[in-house]
Amino acid sequence: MFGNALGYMATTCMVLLVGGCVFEAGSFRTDPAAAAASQSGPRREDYNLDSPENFKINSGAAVQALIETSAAQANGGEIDKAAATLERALHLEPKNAYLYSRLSALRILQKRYEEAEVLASKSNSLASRNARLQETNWRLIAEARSQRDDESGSAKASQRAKQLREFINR
Amino acid sequence: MARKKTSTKKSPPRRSFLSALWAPLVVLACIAALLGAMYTIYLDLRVRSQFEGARWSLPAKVYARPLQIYPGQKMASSTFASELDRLGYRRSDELVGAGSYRVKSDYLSVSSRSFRFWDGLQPSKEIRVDFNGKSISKIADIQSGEAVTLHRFDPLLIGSIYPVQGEDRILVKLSEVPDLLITGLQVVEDRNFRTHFGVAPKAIMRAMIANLQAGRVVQGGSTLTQQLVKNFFLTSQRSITRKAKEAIMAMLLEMHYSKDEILEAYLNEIYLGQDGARAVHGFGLGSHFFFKKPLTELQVHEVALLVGMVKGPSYYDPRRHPERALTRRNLALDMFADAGMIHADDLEAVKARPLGVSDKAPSGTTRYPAFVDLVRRQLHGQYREADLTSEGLQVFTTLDPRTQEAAEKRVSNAVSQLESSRGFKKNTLQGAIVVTSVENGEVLAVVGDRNTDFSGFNRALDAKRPIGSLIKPVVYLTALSRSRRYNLVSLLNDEELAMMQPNGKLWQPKNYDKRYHGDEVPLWKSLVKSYNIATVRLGMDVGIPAVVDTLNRLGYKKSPTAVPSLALGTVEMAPLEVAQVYNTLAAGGYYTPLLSINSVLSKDGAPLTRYQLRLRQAYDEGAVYQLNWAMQKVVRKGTAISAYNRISKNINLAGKTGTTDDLRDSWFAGYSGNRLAVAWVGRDNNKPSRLTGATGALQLWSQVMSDLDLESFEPTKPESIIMVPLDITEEEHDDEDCDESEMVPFIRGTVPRDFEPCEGNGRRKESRHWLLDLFR
Repeated sequence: MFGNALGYMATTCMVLLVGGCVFEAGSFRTDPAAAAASQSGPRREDYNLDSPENFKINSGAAVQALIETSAAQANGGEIDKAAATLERALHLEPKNAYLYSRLSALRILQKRYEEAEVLASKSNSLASRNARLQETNWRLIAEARSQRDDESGSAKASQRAKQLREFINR
Repeated sequence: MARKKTSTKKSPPRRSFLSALWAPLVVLACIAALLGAMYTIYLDLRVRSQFEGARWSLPAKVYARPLQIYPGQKMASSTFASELDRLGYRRSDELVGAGSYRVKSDYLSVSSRSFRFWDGLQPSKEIRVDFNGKSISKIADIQSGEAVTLHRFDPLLIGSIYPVQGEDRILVKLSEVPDLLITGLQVVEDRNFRTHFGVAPKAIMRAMIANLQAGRVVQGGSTLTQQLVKNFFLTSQRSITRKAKEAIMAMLLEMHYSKDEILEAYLNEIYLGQDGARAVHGFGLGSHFFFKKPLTELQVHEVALLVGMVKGPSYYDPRRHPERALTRRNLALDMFADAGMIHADDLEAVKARPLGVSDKAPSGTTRYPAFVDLVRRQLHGQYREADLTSEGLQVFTTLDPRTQEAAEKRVSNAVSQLESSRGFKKNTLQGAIVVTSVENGEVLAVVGDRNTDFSGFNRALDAKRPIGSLIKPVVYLTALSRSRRYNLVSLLNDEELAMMQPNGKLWQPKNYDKRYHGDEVPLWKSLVKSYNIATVRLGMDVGIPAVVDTLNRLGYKKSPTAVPSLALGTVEMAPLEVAQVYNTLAAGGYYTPLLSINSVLSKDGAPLTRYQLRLRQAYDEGAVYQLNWAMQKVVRKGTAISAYNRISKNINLAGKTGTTDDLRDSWFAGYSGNRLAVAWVGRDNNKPSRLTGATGALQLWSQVMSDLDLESFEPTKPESIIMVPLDITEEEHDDEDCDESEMVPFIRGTVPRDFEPCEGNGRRKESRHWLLDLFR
């Protein structure tokens, strides 16, 4: 009990020192500002800026070879084949965020915009600490939404991409 | 008056007899000839339509997913060798062409077979695979020395889709058939094949003499053409009329078709054995059926066996009558030697070789019927039954033979063990399991019956049972998606509950342990301990229709009745349907339809359909992340704790046990980072199995999972989630250093302000801690 009282006093002092906040007891509350924290800009501690945008270096040799093949096929206009090759790569590394991002880009070329958006989101969810990859993904999402006439959604996605770009360049 | 003409009876009696007979005889002869001609035309039409028809009716061929190897892959050299064995590759001291391999102390050399995949023809290749302990260190092309980053092998043929009482073939062109077989066949069965006109009278005479001399039938006089005809109309009736018909039809065939065409038809048509309800026709399939490899890879003693069997496939069945088969084979080898096909010096050595025939099941061509059943159903949406069973389609599936075989063995053993542990008679219990790859939605294995060869009721796809507590994660997920109201430490009420139902009756759900746990049970704990009452209240609070909506979004297509008891799993699902729902959870909230097929090619290798990767973001990632945190606890601390008796504690697992009323159904659905499995154990007559989810299905699940290469479940933390250190242990203690704390996920902005980090258990303190400000 004595320990508790001391602790309580210490706590109160620190609170005053730091500059205090509103004291609330009881219910939970969602702070809209806090909830929108992720909207107002990326936070430093959330990202690893050393990750290259492309996980090429982090992918196994087999996957890298398939990525090269896929790129060659895409450049040669064989989009379907390029997608099939990426899916082969995904069998080998099913949680490779970079592969999903590239597949998203191919889906845009295949005019499958809804799927492109999901794949870019999936890529984001697998690499939530990679700012560069996320920026690419948000640009893909913006393009996919724009093609589906979702201009406001597209603008939001572009905004996210822009924030990430600024953050990276800081 | 005219003179009456009288007939002069001057004609000789002979002439009138003849003339009396002549006309009717001629007429009769004409009629007979006409009938004969008509009959011959009829036979001609029949034999021709059979001949033409036989060329086109090909069941669809079903392949497993191809084995792929790459440097760095975790695979021991012994595992690799057994995979090659499974593919029918021949182990020898030297590489002897495609389909062979050679084993050295720390490397293997393989000559892979060519194969036409979706993306084109992949030629045969000789590669050297080096191993370093339990992984592949290097792969190189033997000819060029170049490094190989990925090599894909020809896929295993696992079955065919055929009409129920069907025939099965692997078509071969004459040009693809080894000379050894073509020559050998003629030497043993029909030496004058190239010169006779359908029947060979000399051969018949020779046979008759030989048989008379021997006192029994030792030689047949049928030509290959006659045998072909006999095969078209396979009856056991061996009458004179039958033989006469065959002879006529054989001659007719020879009139219409060339020797090469007849020979090719023979090679594809001749009956060689029985595989359950299916007849094995042709040397192409016969080679696979008996030796697990293509015709081009057969060695001389294997060719001799097949040729020898033609005379009586059942009588000389090498699996049922190996001694007879061996004698017959060696007789054929003698004839080969006489004809100069083998050197006399080699003959004894070859005759001394064993039959070399593979075990029938599971290596026959009716492997994995439960999986092929799923394939067939998934194809039916796109292809008509007629196309599936006659166009010779090539279907490439997601089946992983190693996973499938492990699953089959485990289902069989585990169900037996559970049965005897519960004091049941044999064959009282049944079981089923489905295994998927999580991210790509690929179905790796399906077992529908503890007797894995049995292709009857497929429980994995069709046994719809109440899922019981397996529904709880769906209820809790629905709650967690209302992040303002619920998080993992929200307090739930597990006190006694009585609800009036529309039918006027009172419903009083009880917990499994028959106790009540107070009105301050943390949400995560209620899921981990699978408390019923708290779950019902939670379900009512979020609304049962919302729970149904969540279930649908996760991938369950039907609309169960939205009654309160749904929160306790009064919805019937088959294991595959459960797997679809849990797969979405395992993939972080991303739904991908579970598929058993990757692509379909035509008989000639032209691409027809490719089942592309399809994803849908089904549910909020943050809510799913929180749920998965709790579901990991189910295995670490909750009802599924015994899983870690078999699986390394380094592997994070998530899952849920399910038990239904009176212990009728025992369920477990769970996943690692890369594998999901749903197991069910119960009784077909729906009587109590005396097993809970934990004591029954979980045991089966753990055993199957322990056979697989598991990756730990490590979901990436979504942006919307923040981790807060909390002490959620049971004991009360002052914990200023947060030693006993764990990181608990919350949606940003919903961390309760009145919570002290390191103060769990749902007890609120009146004070606030400065640390809290950091977690906004």
